[in-house]
Amino acid sequence: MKWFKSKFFIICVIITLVIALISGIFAAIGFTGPFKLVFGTVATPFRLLGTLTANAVNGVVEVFSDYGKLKSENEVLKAEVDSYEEESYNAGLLQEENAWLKEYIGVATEHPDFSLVDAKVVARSTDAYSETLTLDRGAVHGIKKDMPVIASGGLFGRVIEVGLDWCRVEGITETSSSVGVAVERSAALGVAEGDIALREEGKCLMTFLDSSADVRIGDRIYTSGGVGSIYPPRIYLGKVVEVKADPQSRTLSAVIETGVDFGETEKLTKFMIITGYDGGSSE
Amino acid sequence: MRMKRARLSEERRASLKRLAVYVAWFFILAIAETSFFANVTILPSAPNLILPVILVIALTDTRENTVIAAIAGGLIGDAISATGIYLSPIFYMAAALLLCLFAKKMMPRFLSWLALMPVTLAFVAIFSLLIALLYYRPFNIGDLLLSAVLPKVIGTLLFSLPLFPLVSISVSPFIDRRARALR
Repeated sequence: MKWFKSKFFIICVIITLVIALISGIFAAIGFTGPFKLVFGTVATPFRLLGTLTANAVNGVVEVFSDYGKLKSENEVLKAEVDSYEEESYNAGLLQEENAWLKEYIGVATEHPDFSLVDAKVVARSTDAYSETLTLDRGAVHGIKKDMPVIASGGLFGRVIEVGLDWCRVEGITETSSSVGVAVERSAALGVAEGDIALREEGKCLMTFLDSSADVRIGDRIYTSGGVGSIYPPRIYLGKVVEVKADPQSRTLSAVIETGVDFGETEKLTKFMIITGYDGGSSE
Repeated sequence: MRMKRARLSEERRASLKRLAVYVAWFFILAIAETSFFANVTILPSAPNLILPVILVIALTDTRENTVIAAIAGGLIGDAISATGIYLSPIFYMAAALLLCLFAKKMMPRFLSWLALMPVTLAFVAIFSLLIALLYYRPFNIGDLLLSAVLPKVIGTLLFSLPLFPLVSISVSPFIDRRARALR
């Protein structure tokens, strides 16, 4: 306590009070005090440096704080993209469905005499020599053996086996298949048969053409129909891509690129089975 | 007699040098408070770094030097900060006197400094509240404590931790070991 009565302490208190009083008076009359003026001026460049450093720190902090913000934004966008993808997928399905319906209507309009049953693939059976598809229509739907089957692009083949609610179909590129066909332009007749070498390429061979038959590359081939044929006339089969002459038998043969893409049968999901038509019956 | 006088003069010179170092520290810390810490957005409030330095001085230097340093610290702090009236010298002087009373060297200095930090933080809180009462109205005392005083106290505690070794090391070349032993 003795220390508080010392000259030093009293001087300190007086100095401090005087400083406070002077600064108070300066502040009251709106002047900057002398200390503030001196220290403020000297401190300015250092304060600038401090502010710049703080801004740099703020920048780094912002990067990290933005990371969380960006992450959550990314999650929201991801969810949005997912929903758009789903919508796009659904739109694709609808488009496919629409195309199929158009085709169905197209066939029904072109051949008003056809009785059609639509079918979907439920199973596939593939080996080195043959490929058959199982569809979801059978005897209860009026399906019988040898009924013609149409897919997107034209004639696919025929029914080879029928179950209660399923049937097995074989394509026209299979070696056991033969279809009576005609060239659209010249009406030249022949038989479209499956060929072991061409089947891998999704093609078949048109045989039994006269050596004088008018057949050219690009000619469109349709089923000829007629008595005894299981196929009705005027179903598109494909187009000629190559014409060959056999000098020994004096006949021509033509390679047909089928309208149905037999190279990618896994893409074929929907079919139409012709259960009846005018001038003949599949039954 | 002459030797004693020479010795006193030598000690006074060392004491003045220490005071100069303290003034430099106050200058640096006041600038840091008003420019760096005030602008860093993650800190809710700029810490008060002058009072912890006064505590270091109270523990390592004479009472006279502590009081002079506290007045100088308040003066510099107010001159550099935005406040117009120089209240800090009065407040810091009072704080220095009280800290000098507590600062009896029973423990190693750093531990004493840590032990007295709550007292210093209490001064920081009181001073912040006082400033808020004087300059910022109207206010809600609860909001003020939570939004201004508490962040300032926490910030002060965090950022003052390296100050003890830094200030002690910076004045160590100007400490007369024999004088310290006599003190």
